[in-house]
Amino acid sequence: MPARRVDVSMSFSAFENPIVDDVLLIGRKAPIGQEAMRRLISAIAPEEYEIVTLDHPTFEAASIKRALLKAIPREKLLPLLLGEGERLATETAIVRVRVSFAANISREVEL
Amino acid sequence: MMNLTVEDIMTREIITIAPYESIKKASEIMEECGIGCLPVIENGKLVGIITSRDIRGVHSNRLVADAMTKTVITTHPSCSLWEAKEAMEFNGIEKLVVIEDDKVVGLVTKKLLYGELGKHTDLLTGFERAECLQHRAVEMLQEGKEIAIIFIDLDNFGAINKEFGHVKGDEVLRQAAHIFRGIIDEETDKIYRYGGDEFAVLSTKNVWEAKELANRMIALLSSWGWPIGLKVTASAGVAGGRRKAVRFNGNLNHMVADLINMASLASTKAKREKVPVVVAEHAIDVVPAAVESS
Repeated sequence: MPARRVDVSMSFSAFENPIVDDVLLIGRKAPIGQEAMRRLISAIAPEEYEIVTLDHPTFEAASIKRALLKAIPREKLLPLLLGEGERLATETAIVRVRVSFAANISREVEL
Repeated sequence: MMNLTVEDIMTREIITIAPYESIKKASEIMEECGIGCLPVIENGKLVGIITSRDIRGVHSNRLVADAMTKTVITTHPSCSLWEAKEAMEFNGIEKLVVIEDDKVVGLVTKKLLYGELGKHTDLLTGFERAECLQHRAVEMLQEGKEIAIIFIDLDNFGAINKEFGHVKGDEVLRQAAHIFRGIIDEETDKIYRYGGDEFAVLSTKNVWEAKELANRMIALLSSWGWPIGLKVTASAGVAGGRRKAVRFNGNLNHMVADLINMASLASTKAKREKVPVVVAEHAIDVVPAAVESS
């Protein structure tokens, strides 16, 4: 009887919140509303996200990673998210958004 | 009816729901119990209300908290039916949650409220009854308005009933109501069916303008083209106007009752003296509380 071998491969990485990501845009008729999302987030990542109630035709709320808001002010970020989000989603959807940014800083130093 | 409050008619057995239940469950409860709304209670406190309208088109997995109306218009058990009606109409709602000591103690629906209020409208003339006059007059005094009451009593109405029959008598009352309705100014005057053959007008006119209106009402009634052989006349008493405080004891209900009584007695005097209108001689203080304290 031939010998059998099993190759096992593993990949380790830091656990990132798999559900909430950086931003969630919650549609007005989505199966999960903002209160449900608030409870979910407070259970899995307390204090890590801010839930913002929106006055928007498609989305009723957004959950945004607080760390992200430290880099980009909410009033600058939200219009970008909503403007793009409403093109892609309907009010029944919950849209997950991954946001990356690069800051270019140049400073002048007197010699 | 002036004593009837929300407490007298409200539904006391309230079915409620918690905010973190699903819309599916809310819908099932409503269907099972044949009701159209559920107050939403968390830790014993009212946090919202969910109606059949709120859940229409909403995903059944959603939480009640995500579909409920969070700003709930509430009332108190001691609120009058008229105040409850005004609150419903002003807010365009069909249900009022009744709260006492921060707890939900009842529910009043538009159907229930209007059904009760309907009992206080005279079907023959379409005018509201005496209790409504009392309530509205108190309200107007609270609003700082000056009021006058015209009390109109048809003359010998019993004789009309006896001679022509009660059906004809009812027709006379209906026609008199029609005549009076046509002569008043709806901006300032409102007519009530006070009793059998008695009408009362609540007016924001001053007492002399009210007297002038009463004279015109009486004159038009008697000159109306009544069927041959039928003579319909009336006598009126007027009371009201702003006077220095003489009998004010702080109770506006008593004050209004006195005012109506004085107008009634003045109409009796007019009948006795065979004059169309008498103005009450000893008018009571009708300076509204708001004016008094200023």
